Amino acid sequence: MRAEITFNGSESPAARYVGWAPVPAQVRLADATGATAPVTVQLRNQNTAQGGQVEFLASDTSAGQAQIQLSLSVAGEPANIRIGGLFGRPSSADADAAVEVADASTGEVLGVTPLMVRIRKNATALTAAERDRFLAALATFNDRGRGRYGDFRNVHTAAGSPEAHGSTGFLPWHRTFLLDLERELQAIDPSVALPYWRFDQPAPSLFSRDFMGAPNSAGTLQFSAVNPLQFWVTDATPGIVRPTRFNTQTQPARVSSEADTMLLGAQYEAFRQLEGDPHGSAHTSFGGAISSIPTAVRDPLFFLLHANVDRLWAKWQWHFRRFDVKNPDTFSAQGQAGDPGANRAGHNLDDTMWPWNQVTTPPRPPTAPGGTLAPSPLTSAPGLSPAVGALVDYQGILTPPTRLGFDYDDVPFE
Amino acid sequence: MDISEYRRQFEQEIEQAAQQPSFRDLVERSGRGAAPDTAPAGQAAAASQAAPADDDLTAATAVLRDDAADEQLRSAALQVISRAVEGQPELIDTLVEVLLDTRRPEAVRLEVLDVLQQISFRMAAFPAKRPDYLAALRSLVDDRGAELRRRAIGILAREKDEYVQRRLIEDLESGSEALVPTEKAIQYLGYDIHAEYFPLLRQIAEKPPTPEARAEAVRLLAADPSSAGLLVTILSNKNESPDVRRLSAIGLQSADPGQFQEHARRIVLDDDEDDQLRATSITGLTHFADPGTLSRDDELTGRIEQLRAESSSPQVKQATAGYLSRHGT
Repeated sequence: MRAEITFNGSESPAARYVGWAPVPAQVRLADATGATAPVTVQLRNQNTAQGGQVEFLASDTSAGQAQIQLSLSVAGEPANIRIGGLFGRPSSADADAAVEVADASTGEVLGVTPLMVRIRKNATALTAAERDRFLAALATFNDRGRGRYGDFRNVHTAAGSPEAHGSTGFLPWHRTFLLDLERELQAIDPSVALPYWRFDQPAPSLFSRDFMGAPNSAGTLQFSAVNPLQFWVTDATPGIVRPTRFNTQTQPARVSSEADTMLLGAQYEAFRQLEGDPHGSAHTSFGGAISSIPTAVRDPLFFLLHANVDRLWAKWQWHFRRFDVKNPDTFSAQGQAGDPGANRAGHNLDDTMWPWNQVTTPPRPPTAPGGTLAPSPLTSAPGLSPAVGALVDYQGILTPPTRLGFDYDDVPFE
Repeated sequence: MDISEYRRQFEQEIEQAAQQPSFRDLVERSGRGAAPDTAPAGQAAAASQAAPADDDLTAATAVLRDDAADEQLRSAALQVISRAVEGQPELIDTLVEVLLDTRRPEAVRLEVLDVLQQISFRMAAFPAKRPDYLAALRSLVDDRGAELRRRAIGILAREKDEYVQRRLIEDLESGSEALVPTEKAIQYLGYDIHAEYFPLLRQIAEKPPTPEARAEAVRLLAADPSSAGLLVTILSNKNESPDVRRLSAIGLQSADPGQFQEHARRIVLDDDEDDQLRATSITGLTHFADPGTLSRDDELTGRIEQLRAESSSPQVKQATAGYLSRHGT
């Protein structure tokens, strides 16, 4: 007998990635030789001592459990369950988790399916191998200034700034920007998840020559001889300039703490003040490219900084249980541009976001670099030209299909 | 992990943070008089994070104008003003006024500049204020405060400001460091590199006032394919410092990838080469060289396998492992 599991509605190994948010999985007997009646099987982690761990849910509304029993038909009809990563036990390498299907009565193993519990982690917690895979994917994507990274660079400029900053859309826009980059990196190496720079804590390993570089006396970053970022080029100019205004080896950046950020308030309108501090303060904790809007994306630290801003939003959502998009406390600008009292285009719940909507007529900027949002083999959400509201329930807590396919190491699915 | 317990611990952290002194507490402690609101400390701290009350804003503006205010209080006051700016964009004018006031200590003006940059990242109304802000920064280009001058020039350079570019070029041509050190002037020009800068940069690379200035010039010359010859000359000269040779190799990769591949190969095959330069060469080949050419190069592959087995340099070993995992047979 042989059993098999498919994830995210696909038989492809490219779909075998989960976060904390459970994903749909199907289990079936691919070969029922010897069975004359339904076979009861048990699903469990193959190795509970190491590697990523998952938990099993009978349905979207049931609790996760370490093992689950299912009855599989001899005819090969699939049984539907949900599988999510076990909070606190992420993978550190591709396919280092595995689900084992065993015959519940004999113990015979009927199938093992490797997968990855792929989670965005604190950059200081990455293994050397995780770090190096991320750097290699980033360097490949930029390809010495010849690659698609240039589109990301050309989006975050003074012209595009009103789409991304200064109003309610700041958080959803940047969540999309990060997701777009992460999906591009995963197309190069699917084991990569975007790490975040927890800027309210010291991060000496991040600001090292082996990772995001350490500045010389002029503020130009130095990299180790094995770091591919030493070949970083943007705007036809090699190198990254990032003088620091705090001691990166012993101090956090000059920002409000995570707890202070939560204290901004339980309503989105209050919380979005984080755009100034800690977000703006994190940018201006340095000199160099990252400290000005028109040049910030020249420094790839931009994406680790913003992953932390997004993590803070995710943590605030979890803390205050803010996932219902129709609740103004979850997102304060309901409706769409043009409605009475609405914000400018791109900052209301039902507005699509530039550049992914490819709209280049006023009030949008005259060009939309980069095309639509990169697709994912795991989910069709939030769509290729997403609306602001599609970025809110990122774990699919209220509507599972809206799950975006990422999670943070310290923000559970609950 | 028990998520209920995790949530309880997180809530405790937030409760503790709420006990920290608010701006009002700091004002009271400084002897500037009690703030009118007598909410408990935790509530005051939480309230201080939202849009500030008029009383707080008045107190914050007074603190900003007081050179004797201590740093913690002034920072808190600036955050109060920063949070209020979205509803009252005219506060930007107040901040710019302090920034330009040469009677004020440089430390205060630097802190104000930081807050203005922070605001520029978020505020919908900032584009309307941007011309005035940039004009203010231009007036700081000759300020007596070296750090203030440097930061203002840096911001303007990132905005591709023609005035500051012209001033930097003038200084470089005359050999003056009146505005900023030579290496910083070169670095700032790198935010908007123009072909007409390259002859001057080549001149600095060949007759540098300092090693730092040379390093910056070599870095920017990578944007100029016609400077590939100079980069090859530096790279090939074993009497040059390993650092500048490595910088030349990196620059050559950008200026002329074909030549880089050729010279990187030579460096890897040379028994008498610097290990850092060798590791950089292997890393460049691993990630950016033409894979077809590499796959046919048995001599190079053999050499890299040998280095993997025999090199005493951890970085060379690491670089060879990366190469062989991508291009090995």
